Amino acid sequence: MSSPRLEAFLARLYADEHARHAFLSNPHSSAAAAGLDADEVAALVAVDRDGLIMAARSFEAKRRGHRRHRLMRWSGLPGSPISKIIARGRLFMRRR
Amino acid sequence: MRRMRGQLTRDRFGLGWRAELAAGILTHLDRIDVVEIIAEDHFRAGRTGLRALRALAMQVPVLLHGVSLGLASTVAVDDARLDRMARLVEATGAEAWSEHLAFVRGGGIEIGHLAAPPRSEASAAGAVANLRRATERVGSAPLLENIATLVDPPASTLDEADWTARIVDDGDAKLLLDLHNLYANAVNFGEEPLALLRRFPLERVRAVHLSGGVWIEGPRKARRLLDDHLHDVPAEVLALLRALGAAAPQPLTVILERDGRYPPMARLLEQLDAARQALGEGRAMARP
Repeated sequence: MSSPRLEAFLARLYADEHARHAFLSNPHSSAAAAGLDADEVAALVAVDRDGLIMAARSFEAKRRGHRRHRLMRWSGLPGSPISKIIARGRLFMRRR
Repeated sequence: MRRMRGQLTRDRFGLGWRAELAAGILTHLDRIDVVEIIAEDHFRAGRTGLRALRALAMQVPVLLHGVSLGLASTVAVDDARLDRMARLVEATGAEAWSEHLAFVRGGGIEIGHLAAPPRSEASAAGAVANLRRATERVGSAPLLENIATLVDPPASTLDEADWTARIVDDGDAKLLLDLHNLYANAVNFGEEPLALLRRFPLERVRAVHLSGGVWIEGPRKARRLLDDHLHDVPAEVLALLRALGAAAPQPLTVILERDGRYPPMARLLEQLDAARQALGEGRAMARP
């Protein structure tokens, strides 16, 4: 078992809180509605629920970390939009 | 690309290159044999950035480490990502590159980190196809790294050791064995770490990752070991390195990974020394 459709379903479970909540509330109908085959649906109904929730939290923390990392790199570049805003703010404060 | 991999005759010990550690690494190259650079941090590097990496590679052997290709997937790996890796390998003169046995996206959704796919014949076949595609596009084969997972991958029909062996055998690949990932998966899913290590295809290991983690609590008081790279290497992982040294006679490149809460460089060097000692003890155990 494993298919692009199953990977897409798992990616959504790992990254989308609403989809995960819907799945955990009703795994069978949620998996079947995604067009997965009977074996895949059965496997998902038997999923390691604690692990799924912990993994999803961990992925969310990683995504937050990536966003912060990207923002810091972006804002640190001379001429970047944020650095211009900061520079304008400093100029405004000095004029006051 | 330098061809040091095939000529490696001794064990080497190094650190993951991070901006916060750069100065410490450069001032201790007498105790650091090799550095490993996260490839994605430099995919968009300009000529100046690439020259800097090339200059670093002139001082110390450099390995490139990918985190976003998603090789262990039934979906073909993206050529544009492979081309960026190829450019970086070529421009830096890195002696080797590596990527994880993970999927990182599906159906247009980015997971944001490394996820274990269903361990099945289909995902193993997909990983082998992606490995061949990557080898052709980049010009050299990646070392393949085992990942840690907090969730027992659903819809699996093979266990981790058998699934990994299937991929490296069918793809004629070499392994980057992350011993903390292996340890975390063992304790999280009820296996004995040493027994799990011995079921991996150890003759194919060329490089090793060491790191630390933390126990976290989930719903219903469930506890799992999270591989967070923010803590020191535990004694249990050094014991696995000792066992690996006894079981796998080939030279190994051992990399200590640290992604935050950086201790003083002296403490990281102490951990490298502990790794040297553990692997050396394993080598001594294997001698007749």
